[in-house]
Amino acid sequence: MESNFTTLDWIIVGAYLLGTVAVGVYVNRFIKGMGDFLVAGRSLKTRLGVATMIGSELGLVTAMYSAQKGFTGGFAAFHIGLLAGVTALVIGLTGFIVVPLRRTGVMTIPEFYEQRFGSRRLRIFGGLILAVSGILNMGLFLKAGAVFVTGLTGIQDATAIKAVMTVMLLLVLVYTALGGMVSVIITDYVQFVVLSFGLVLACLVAVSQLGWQNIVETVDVVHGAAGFNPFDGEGFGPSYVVWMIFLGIVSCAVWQTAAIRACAAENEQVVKRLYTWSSLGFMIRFMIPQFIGICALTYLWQHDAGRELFFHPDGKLIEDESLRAMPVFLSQLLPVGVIGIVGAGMIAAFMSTHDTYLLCWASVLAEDVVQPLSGGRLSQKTRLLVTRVFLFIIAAFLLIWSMWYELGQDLWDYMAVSGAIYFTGAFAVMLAGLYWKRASTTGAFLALFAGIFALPGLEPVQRLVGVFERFDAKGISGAHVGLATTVLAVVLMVLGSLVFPDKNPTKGDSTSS
Amino acid sequence: MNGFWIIFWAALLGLTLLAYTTLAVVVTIGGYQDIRAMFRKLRERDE
Repeated sequence: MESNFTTLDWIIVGAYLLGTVAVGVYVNRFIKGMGDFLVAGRSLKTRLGVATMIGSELGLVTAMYSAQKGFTGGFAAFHIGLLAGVTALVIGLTGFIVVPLRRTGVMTIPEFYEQRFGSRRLRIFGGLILAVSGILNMGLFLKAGAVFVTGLTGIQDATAIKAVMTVMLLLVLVYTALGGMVSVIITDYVQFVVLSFGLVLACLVAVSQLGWQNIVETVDVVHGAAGFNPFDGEGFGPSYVVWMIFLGIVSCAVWQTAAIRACAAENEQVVKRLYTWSSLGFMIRFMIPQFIGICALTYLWQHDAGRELFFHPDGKLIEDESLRAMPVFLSQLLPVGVIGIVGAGMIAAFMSTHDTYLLCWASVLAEDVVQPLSGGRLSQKTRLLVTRVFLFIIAAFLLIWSMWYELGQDLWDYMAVSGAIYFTGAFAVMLAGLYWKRASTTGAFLALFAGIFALPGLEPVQRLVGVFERFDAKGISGAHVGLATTVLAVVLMVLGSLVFPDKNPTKGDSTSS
Repeated sequence: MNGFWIIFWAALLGLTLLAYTTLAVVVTIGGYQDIRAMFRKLRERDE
């Protein structure tokens, strides 16, 4: 299918990318220590906090996996966004986990482990689990970005795509390494503005061109009742819905990239307002791309060329191609110039997510693994250097992983399971650590270790250990594995704490009072 | 049964689009002011 992407659109994208690097260079002058680099000197106010939280969470990857879910799941996929929004709202109104976390004054979740349980080894172990899970979780970001650029621009040359992705990654590295959290906040803000208005506009254009009734009828033809009802077993099913409720909680309260916003907030009131306001963003970051994915389904189903590329002759979806549906659709829908602006916004979104995640995992490795291992003797300058070195090492890994790993399932489900290696255990540890005085170090170790049992939720791992056919026959999905791992982590946290209590169990008072 | 879900998702999509557009306008304007305040704070601390 011929794309509308032209030279003018490339110029718009190029100008935007160079502008973001200039921001990194400019704000480098304000970076005086780790406090500035990681949490912007704790100077984040509500409105900017909302923009950056939505900016970093509404990335290109989010748009890609959400659109894929809309394409493969129809309107029923909206339940993911709805539950994400509702759980964020509840957390904002109650301050559940995030307010006591902000009260501790920590900069990372593993730092909380050490402060709460008084165990440096727990911090190092928790930091390693978090970093490994987080880096695996972002392992396919580059692949998603490459699929987007290919689909939008119509470029077919694989080498050219890899070159474009490498250059983008290098640009992210430069301004993140230079400006840290301050530059991340600025670029997140700009990206929020461009992408918010761009996506809303794309939705309106899509509906006006395709027609609402036409969209509904196409979803009905392709997906049937499962395309509307999330509880329908032919589609998502009740277990998946429960898994999404849990993911809604952890993705805004336990996942490090979101929790760091709470840590960076000016005070506890700002934390609550931040989550209350951002709940809409948490919902919309799924729903708008999902709707564009549904529109892509309608458009491609009704055009011969699209039908040939994305559907089997019997009308079933070609799962492996579903990730490309949204960019291909946008390349057909949007006119010259507008496609460049939306493309720049999306690529900026890609960079925005990358900078937040790269900074996050590099700082966790530097602050929660290397610094404690050194006995806390590293100077501010050395810690900055170590963080920047990790930025480059992680980036190199991502480049290799993106090219090597075969997805085998929806991108969203891969991310949920890879993230679960960390957040199933972390949820149990944070919940108990913040609200239960008897929570012990041994319980925390066991809960964090339990996260490893989430790995069989990944299809390539199932094939590797020879359980894929059995899981497939019994309908066991990543959602089932994730939920079982969560229950296991909570049980181990409780049992470990009761059987092996800490000698001084009152440390929790400082964080839960 | 589909009828309920179609109306529900349509209403939710419409409401969230409207609310999000409003939020985007407020946050765009307010966020710009917050950026200026953040730089002022960082600059004052350096002096």
